[in-house]
Amino acid sequence: MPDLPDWYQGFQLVGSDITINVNIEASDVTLPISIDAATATIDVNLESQDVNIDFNFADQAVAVFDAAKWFAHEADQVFNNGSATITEASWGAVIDYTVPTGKVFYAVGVANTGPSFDGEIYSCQGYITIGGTTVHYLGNKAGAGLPLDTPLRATAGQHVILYLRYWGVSATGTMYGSIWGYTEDV
Amino acid sequence: MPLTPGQRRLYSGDYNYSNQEWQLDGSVIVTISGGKSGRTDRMHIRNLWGEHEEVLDEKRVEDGPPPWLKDRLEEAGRGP
Repeated sequence: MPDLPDWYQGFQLVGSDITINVNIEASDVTLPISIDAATATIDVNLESQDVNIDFNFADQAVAVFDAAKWFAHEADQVFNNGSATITEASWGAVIDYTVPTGKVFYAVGVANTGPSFDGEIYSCQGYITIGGTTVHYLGNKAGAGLPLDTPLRATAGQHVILYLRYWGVSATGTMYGSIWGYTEDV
Repeated sequence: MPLTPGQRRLYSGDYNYSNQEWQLDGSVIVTISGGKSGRTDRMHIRNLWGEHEEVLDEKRVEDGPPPWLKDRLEEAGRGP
């Protein structure tokens, strides 16, 4: 690239009440925004008592998805559920999921139930392993569901296993668990 | 030993929902559904994911509503 001079175009308005309308009516509109830089900083700083941001799409088909909903839309969501009969205080695997060929699995939630005997519920522990390494612990009294704000990631061929146990009653009971998320092609 | 149709689907990942019912003898009843195939596969597997994995029993059913609901849905879809 030739050595071009720096370019600065300032746009500053100071006033007690400012309205900027951008109204474009055309049969074909293109507004490209292309930023090509080693470092780019885009700050949007809104300081107002009331802020309204409206996106008004009137196309035939417009959708804005977050990642999880997008993968469900693409039918890549995966819900792994499982159950096992477990003796008190013994660990039991309720889910053993192997990530399929050519996929990466992202777990975004985990849940478990506690066993019930005569209406009483008992304390539960759990943990998740990926590829033989413990990556997540659970603990609850009555069972719980937990969305993960950072997904657990597992690659093709890795086992994702949910182990559960309970204690407090000398009996054998059935425990249930779920791990859900989505897969992406490698 | 070649994969059964259900195993092939299990390893290819063509499903959205899976349920594992672990049995006291260590075998597992695996049910998978969703995905592109439009079917539900239910397999009783010994030594799941193991070197000597063995499918003891396998059933395949078509997903979708029962015939009488399908008829009504189709009729309703034609509109008044």
